[in-house]
Amino acid sequence: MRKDVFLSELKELLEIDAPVFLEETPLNLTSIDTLSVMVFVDENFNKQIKAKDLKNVNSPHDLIQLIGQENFNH
Amino acid sequence: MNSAITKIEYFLPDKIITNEQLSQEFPEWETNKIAEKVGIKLRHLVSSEETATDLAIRVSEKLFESYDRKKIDFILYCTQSPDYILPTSACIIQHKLGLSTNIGALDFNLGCSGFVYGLSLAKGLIMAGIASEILLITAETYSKHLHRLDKGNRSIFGDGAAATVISRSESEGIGNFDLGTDGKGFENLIIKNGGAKYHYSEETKDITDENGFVSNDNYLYMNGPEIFNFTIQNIPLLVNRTLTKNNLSLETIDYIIFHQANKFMLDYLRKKLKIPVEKFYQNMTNTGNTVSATIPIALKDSIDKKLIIKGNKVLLAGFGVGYSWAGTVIEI
Repeated sequence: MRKDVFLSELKELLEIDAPVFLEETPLNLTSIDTLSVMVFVDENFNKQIKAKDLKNVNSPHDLIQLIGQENFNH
Repeated sequence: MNSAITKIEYFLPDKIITNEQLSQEFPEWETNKIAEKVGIKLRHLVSSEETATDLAIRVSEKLFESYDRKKIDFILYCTQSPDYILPTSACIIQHKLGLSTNIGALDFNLGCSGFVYGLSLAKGLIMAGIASEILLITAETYSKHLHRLDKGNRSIFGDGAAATVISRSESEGIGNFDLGTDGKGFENLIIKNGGAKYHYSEETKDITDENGFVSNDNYLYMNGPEIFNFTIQNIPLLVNRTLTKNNLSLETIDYIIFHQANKFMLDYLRKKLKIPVEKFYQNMTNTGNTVSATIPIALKDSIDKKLIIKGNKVLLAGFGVGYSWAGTVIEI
């Protein structure tokens, strides 16, 4: 997946209103967000990520690292 | 010897708690957003004096209004909320229902997979010639195990009971089973205290996590995201194996009933498995997740609404606490 597409879909998924949403933008995932992100990753990357690993996700960049850089193109 | 489901009833306790009531207790809780995600508007709860055994009696009496109780020769009772550690609740139920003393009765402790497991036990008892008219009761009162401040689980779970008769029959109405177990997830849905390992203690402290969720080892703890992960990994495989074991495909199945866990989970499983909406039961709006009672409630509801008609092949799948999962195909 292209990173800009990923960021745009993640922004929509998490209902983030901020005009700028970058890899470094801080994230604070609620429990519902956690489930939404798990579905999003399973659906788009066929990868099941652990809830406890999502606790350490504080930005889209952290999530990209968790999914694996190799699954993204620039 | 063949077996089939010949009768189902369910019963929900009178007390109701709505999302609006929960919202008053937890003003910070985005109730509308939660309702949209979990698909639940209200749940029925037992009173402090009522237990799962009481629900089991009520639902069985309802069933006996149109079924002769003298025919029952075995009780299978599924609950995780027994009145006592011992004796076996099924023995109390036999007595309170005035059933013959010349019958078998046992409890089994399973949650959301319990109904399908109960069907497998009933089928086995009939095939072995041990019983011919089995009363399978699934009754649950998780509300008894929920911490007053546990807004998450209080939004999801409701109390309820179902009674199902499985009878010896001419044609086979209960197909082959796929059963699964993985105890590595046992701590993700657990009531830690109160058993033989850890005693219930008034001194057990509440723990509040970063999302404001309160837990306490005297009460039910559920790691929702881990349960969700288990489900999306295992249930599509369960469905496929169940279909294979019954020489069927999604196209040749008439209807599908999963354990009614929550809307978010079911929506995703349906999408992942590419199940058409019209073949997929989804309704927990006015019941909540009633654990082992959700599938028979859904089954009865589907029959009453003619979503399922005679001769239909219906895939059932239950999954949850344990972890434990089970699937089969029935013909009504």
